[in-house]
Amino acid sequence: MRTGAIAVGVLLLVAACTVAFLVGGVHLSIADLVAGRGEEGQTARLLASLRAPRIGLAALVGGCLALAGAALQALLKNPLADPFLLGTSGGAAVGAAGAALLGLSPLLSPAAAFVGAAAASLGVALLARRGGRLDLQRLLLAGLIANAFFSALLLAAFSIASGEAARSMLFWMMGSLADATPRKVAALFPYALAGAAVLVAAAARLNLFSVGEENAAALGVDTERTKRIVFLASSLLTGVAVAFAGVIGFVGLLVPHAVRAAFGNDQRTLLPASFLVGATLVVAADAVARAAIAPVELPIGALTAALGAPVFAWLLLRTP
Amino acid sequence: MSVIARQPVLYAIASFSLLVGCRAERAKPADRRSVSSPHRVVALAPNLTEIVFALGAGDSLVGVSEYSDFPDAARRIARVGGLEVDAEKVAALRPDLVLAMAEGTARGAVSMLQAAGLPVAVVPSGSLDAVLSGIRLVGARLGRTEEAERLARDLERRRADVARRVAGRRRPRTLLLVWPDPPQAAGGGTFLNDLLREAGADNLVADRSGWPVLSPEYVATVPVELLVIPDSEQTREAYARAFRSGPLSRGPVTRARVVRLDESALTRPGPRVFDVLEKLAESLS
Repeated sequence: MRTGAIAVGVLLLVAACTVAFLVGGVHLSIADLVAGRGEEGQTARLLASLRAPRIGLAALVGGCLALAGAALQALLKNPLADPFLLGTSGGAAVGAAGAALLGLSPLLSPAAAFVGAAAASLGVALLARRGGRLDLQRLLLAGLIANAFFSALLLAAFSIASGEAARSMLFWMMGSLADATPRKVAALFPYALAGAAVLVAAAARLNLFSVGEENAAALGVDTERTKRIVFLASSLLTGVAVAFAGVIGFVGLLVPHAVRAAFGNDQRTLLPASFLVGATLVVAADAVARAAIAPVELPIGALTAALGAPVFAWLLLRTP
Repeated sequence: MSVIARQPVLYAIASFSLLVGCRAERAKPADRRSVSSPHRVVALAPNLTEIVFALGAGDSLVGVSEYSDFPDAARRIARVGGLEVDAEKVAALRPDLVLAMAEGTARGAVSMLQAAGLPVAVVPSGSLDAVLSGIRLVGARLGRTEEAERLARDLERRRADVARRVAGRRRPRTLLLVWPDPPQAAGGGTFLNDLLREAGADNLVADRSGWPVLSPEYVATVPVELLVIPDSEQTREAYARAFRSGPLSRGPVTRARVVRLDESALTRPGPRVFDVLEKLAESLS
């Protein structure tokens, strides 16, 4: 089951990357890319050098968001948990945007986004606590509060910022992969790898959470420590994803559900497969964003939200 | 500095909210009020300020928008906000005429002023024809119909001269970027699209209406021959960065001819846009 699920995920991702490499507002000819001389060859190589890092960034961002969503869902035993809905993405965006407004180096924006994401997760968790446990309804309401607050901050910053700063606020609000570079992919990679490794290593312990925290503790799991690790690792993944691509919502909600429906709820399968399918989803969504109304691009955050909101509604109707 | 080129994103949002917001009420060319000409005028956009001065009524201005910096005399007039108009500040100036743009001026403030009973003239700007009829409309409201007619006729004559000069010339494939990164172009249905066409250029994004933000792939591969960009101290650094390492640093665009035009003249739909028309046509010959 496990290797099967991962093989399917890898296949999907490879297929999505291939298609995404070939489609877009401008036609990319593989023949020209491989053997092209003169202008055609130049154009093809130029396109490839623009598209490849963008696909890489899309895959990493999608993987991070989906994995963070899957881990949060397991930890909170709540199928509606998602970094976007719980306010984590908003906190990350405020952190990164605040750093940009203060004129801090772009190198620090992942750190600022992580701090924002962790603070948001912590605040939401505290708000949702009731008698020592996280209450499902309160959690969603707390996420709602956090999102309203963060979007208010971003909008306020947007209206006082001028010119270039206002443009970057829009980037944080709508999400964009348009300025992907190989350097950004390289900078995101270690964070993604570290966060993913921590969460996948915690998968077996997360499995025990599904039988209840007390039972998990009785089975020898240090539940408080696991909770903290999973919270921090998913905040890190969300934070870096937002720092490099702005807020792209609903990926962390959609993907784990799809994977669970296909492969069951074993976190050891679910977490890595969610990463792969999340990567696939964002790579595909970005290809649509590039190609649909070229030469203008759709904001990718709007695209995933248009896809995610109906699924969210459907989940809500199904949840008892 | 120009509102449009400095903040095209805000500009696009403003014009969008205008589209979905209240319907613009076009001012009637000459109603009772203009019998005695207004002497307390507020202009809510820099191009409107320029039109008022060009009609010789600069003395009547008591308030202007944030970026009104031309002619020099405009700098000394009280400011009433940029894209976000401060309606209370405008009202406090007790204007007997408020000039607003059909595109770009905050719609909410304009309807507030109208509801408060202030005489508001909404001036169109979406084409070169609209700029001319805007001048005539402002003239009528200022009680300077003859001056406006003379100015508009003069501009029309110069426009026709340009048309004669560029007739039959080969039209270079052109992009006019009002902002470099992300690259935002002047598309169809804008006065700058008219400007390009009439100056003898072929706007590559004429079939996209408004101010489209172009994808990096498109900008890197489109066979553009001429790049028209606004030039000002405030924008120079951003364009330099885009040419050095941004969207303008790769592909055919690096070999395109670059024509830099004074930002405030280029991006404001006022009388000076016809100077720019002549200049651009001249540099293409």
